[in-house]
Amino acid sequence: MFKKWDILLAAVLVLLIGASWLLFLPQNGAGPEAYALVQVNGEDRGRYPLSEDTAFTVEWDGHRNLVEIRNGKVSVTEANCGNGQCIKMGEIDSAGEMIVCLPNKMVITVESEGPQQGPDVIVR
Amino acid sequence: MSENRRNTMENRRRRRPESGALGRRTAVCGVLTSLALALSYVEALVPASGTLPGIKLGLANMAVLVALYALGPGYAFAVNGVRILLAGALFGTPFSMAYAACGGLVSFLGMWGLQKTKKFSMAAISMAGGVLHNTGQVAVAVLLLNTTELWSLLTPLGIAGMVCGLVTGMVATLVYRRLPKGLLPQERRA
Repeated sequence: MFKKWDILLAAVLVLLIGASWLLFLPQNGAGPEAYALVQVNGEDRGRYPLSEDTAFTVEWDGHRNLVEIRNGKVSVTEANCGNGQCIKMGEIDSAGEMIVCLPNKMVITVESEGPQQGPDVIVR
Repeated sequence: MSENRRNTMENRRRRRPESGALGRRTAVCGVLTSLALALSYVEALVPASGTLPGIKLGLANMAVLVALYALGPGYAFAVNGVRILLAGALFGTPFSMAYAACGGLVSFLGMWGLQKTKKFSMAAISMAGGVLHNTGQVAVAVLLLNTTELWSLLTPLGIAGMVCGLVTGMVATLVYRRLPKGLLPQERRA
C-alpha cells in the first residue's frame, strides 16, 4: 500500500506543519492579564480584559455577534451568521485560542498583555 | 455521394472503439461523481467538531482519488468540481462552497502533481491532499476576513488533514484494488 518515497513526503509535511507551529502559534499560557482581541474584517474592534465580566454586541454590515465574557472565559452566545459555528466553538480562555465566525468575518483571539517576557526556550 | 459515404463509414469505424471507451469513462465518471456527492452528504450529517471548524474526514476525496487513478486528471477534476457545486447547492451555503472550492482546487492540483511523479502511493498522496485542502481553506479565510491571526489555525488543521487524508487514502487504495477488472479502460496500480 505504501512506497518508500512516501516517507519523504510524510517528513516534508510534518516539517511544514512544525514550521507553521513555530511561525504562527502565539505564546502559550495566558496570565491573569489576558484579554480578548475582537477583530472584524481585519479591523481591531477593541481589547476586553477577561477578568471583567461583560457582554457586548459586535456589529458589522448587518452582521451581529453577541460576545460574552464570564468567569475569565470568552464565548459567543448569539449570532445571525446562519450556521452558528461560532457559538458551538464554546468558551475559550488561553492565549492563542480563537473563535472564528466566517460569515460575519469576526475573529476573537485570546492574547496576553504586552510582549512575551523572558526567553522562549532554555537549553541546558 | 459514395465518397461521402465512405468517409462516414471510415469515421465510424475509426471512432467506434474510441467512443466505446469514452462512453465507459463517462459512465464511470458519473458513478464516481454521485458517490462523491453521497459521501459529501454523509459527511454533512456528522456534526462538525465544536472546537475547530474545518476538521472533517474528507470522505469525498476517496471518489476523487479513484477517478484520478482510474480515469485521469480531467475526470477527477470534473468529479470534484461537480461534487462541490452540487453539495454546496444542496446542503451547504455559498460560504461553505467557496471554502470547499478553494480547498478542493489546491488539493486537487497538489495530488495530480504528486501522482504524475509516480513515486508516491495513493494513501500518501491523499495525506498530502488533506494538508493542502486545509491549507487552501485557511488561506481563503485569511483573505476573506483580512485577519492574519488566522494562520495559527494552520497547525491543528494541518495535523488533522494529514491524519484524515492518510486514513481515507488507505480506504481508497483498498477500494480501488477491489474494483472489478475490465470496469475501467486503463489500469494503474495504486
